[in-house]
Amino acid sequence: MDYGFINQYKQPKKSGNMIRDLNPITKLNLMLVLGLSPFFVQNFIYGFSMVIFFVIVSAAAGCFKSFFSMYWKVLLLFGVFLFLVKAAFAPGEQVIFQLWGICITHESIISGLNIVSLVLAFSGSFILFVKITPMEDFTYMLEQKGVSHVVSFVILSSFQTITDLGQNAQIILESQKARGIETEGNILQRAKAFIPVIGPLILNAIAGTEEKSIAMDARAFSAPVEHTFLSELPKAGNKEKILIVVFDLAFAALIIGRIALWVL
Amino acid sequence: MKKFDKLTIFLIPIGIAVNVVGGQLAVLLKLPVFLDSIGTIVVGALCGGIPGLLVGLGCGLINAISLPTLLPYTVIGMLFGLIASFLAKKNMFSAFWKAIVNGLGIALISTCIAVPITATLYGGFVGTGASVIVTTLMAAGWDVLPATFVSELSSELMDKIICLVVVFLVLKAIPERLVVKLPNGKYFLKEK
Amino acid sequence: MGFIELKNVTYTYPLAKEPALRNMTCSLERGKFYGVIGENAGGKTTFCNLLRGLIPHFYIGELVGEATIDGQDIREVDIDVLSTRMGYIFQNPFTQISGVRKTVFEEIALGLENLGVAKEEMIEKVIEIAELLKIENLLQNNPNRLSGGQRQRVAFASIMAMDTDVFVIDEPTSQLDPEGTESIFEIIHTLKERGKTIILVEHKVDLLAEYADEVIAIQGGEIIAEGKTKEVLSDLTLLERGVMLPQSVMLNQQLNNHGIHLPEVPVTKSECIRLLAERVG
Repeated sequence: MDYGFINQYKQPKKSGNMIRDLNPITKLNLMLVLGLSPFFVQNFIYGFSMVIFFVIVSAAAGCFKSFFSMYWKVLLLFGVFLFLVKAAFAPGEQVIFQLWGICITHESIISGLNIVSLVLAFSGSFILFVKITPMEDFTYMLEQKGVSHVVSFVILSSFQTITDLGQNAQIILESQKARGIETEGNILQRAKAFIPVIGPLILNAIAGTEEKSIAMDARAFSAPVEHTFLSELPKAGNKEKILIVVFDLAFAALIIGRIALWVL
Repeated sequence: MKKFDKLTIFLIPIGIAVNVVGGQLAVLLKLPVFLDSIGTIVVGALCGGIPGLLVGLGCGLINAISLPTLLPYTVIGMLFGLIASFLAKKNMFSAFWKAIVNGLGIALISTCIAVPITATLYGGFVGTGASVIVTTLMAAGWDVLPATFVSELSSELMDKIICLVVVFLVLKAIPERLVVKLPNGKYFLKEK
Repeated sequence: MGFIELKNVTYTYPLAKEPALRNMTCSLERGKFYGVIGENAGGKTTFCNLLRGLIPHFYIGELVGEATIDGQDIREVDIDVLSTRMGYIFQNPFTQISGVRKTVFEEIALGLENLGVAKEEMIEKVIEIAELLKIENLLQNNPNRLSGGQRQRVAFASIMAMDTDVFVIDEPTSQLDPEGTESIFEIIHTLKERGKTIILVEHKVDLLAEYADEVIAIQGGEIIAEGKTKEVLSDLTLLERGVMLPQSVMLNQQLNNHGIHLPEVPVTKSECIRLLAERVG
């Protein structure tokens, strides 16, 4: 028996990486604060610096590859194209270039940069959070904060069901192909393939729900007993708590400052 | 825990997964529609507004993981859940022509909410093929709002009508003995 | 009074035209191993659903007659509480895997977490059950990627780990090979030796003959035979009702047809061999 594997459950979970070992709620807090801050700073240089900051953090947390593999799509789509659209069509006065409805102005360029920096900064924060927070850790923290284990179940089960249904869809697609349903060809042919796959997929999934419900019942899912946990996370240390307080206060100050500026 | 709630809890993950896999299937078959609201509407119709809303929320968050810019549109998904339950209570899932009507209605509502979001946050740019329509219109001199509206509406109409037809077929095919155990079941049972 | 008592119970599923259980009367005692046999769709699973309290609480429908668990009317029982005292394993291995745990170890521990068992005890229990069911090599695997037979063993382990007093088991070996089937029966036998009450629905009558104390035969929603294993399984009239009997009994019948009679009807293989040996010797 591999006792090393089992011993991991006896201690709270630690990965060794300072950033990854932060409490999931801490990570959520920081994500929201850092991701939303550009909205209140309203300065595209700040926004773009945040983008670079997140990339650096992803490397420090050891997940640069997986982070960037999702982030580059946003960078391209929204970094480049959104900027072009905004620059071409946003209202402005100092015209630099004009053709038909396209009107690039000094203001529209700034407007483009602003919007893009906001979108990229928030997206970066969100994707980073997802990459450094395993779902089980997140649901564990929710339960520690008093959220019902039913919520944890729904969240975790959703992810697994996506994988399961994805596999089922492949199987159904293959079997429908064998029956002559076309998946290549013109759009009408491809469209006709959709319902014969999604229909059985949904019906099978719904039919299995009854048994799933009974099976989970058998595991005392609804038992009126307080739950214990096999795999636990360490409690947030003092350093972490101070970190949160500092960032939250800074964020609050930022909001107040922005409102004050707006009012005056 | 009430027996109705028990089944509903297990249908929510299925609703979310059906949304995601439906969307993936549409991409696989290279269809120019999203088809990622089927789960929300089925669950909303069978289990009620709140479960449907939760499916919309869950799916919205998961979509946001691949493309965080989709986050604001989550509210639309949530609204679909509520609408679906309302439609079920008004017996709007009992005939094929009603499915078309549902599709039209939902497409319209969805567009009316999505357009202001797209126009203000992203300047009309969604990141999908519809954006090509928007940019072309704007290049021809159209204003942001009307351009976004036209492109969103055309894409939504196609998408939602197909979605609602699929929903209609699925709801028709679910065995009665299962439907009877669900919160909105009574709206689907035929009079004996 | 028996542990579970049914008196003239008739049950009809919602929207069904015919009752699934008709006028059932039986008394189950603690600590015994009951085998339940009968044709498919004859009411065996409905019977299990009733024992487990799923009828009437989950399936609703019409329940007529008296049904009590430990003296309490089944309609009054809280099945959430009952789930902590009664384990339930059924046929489909895919729906019994929770889908919310990434290792088999955690999967087995899930029920224990729900029961509020302390961590140290949880870990010991999982190891114990894994060794008993010979699935130590699967403990680190992802339960969602196992084969049907492996999942069935994991589902079995997950319920067994909860150490309830009663186990209602509905055809747990349908996905298993003969070796796997044999080992499940041995494990069920050890449960019985620990004083558990077992209600097992099975088609493999040869194995039931060896391990069960009593057998209940259900057909068309009615109990057509019940009593000590040897008595029920040697009753040839059951064959006409679609019930399978052990090979030893069938062999004995063949021998009788050729004019050879053994002193008693053997129901298990070992009995059969013994009696034949005596006859020949």
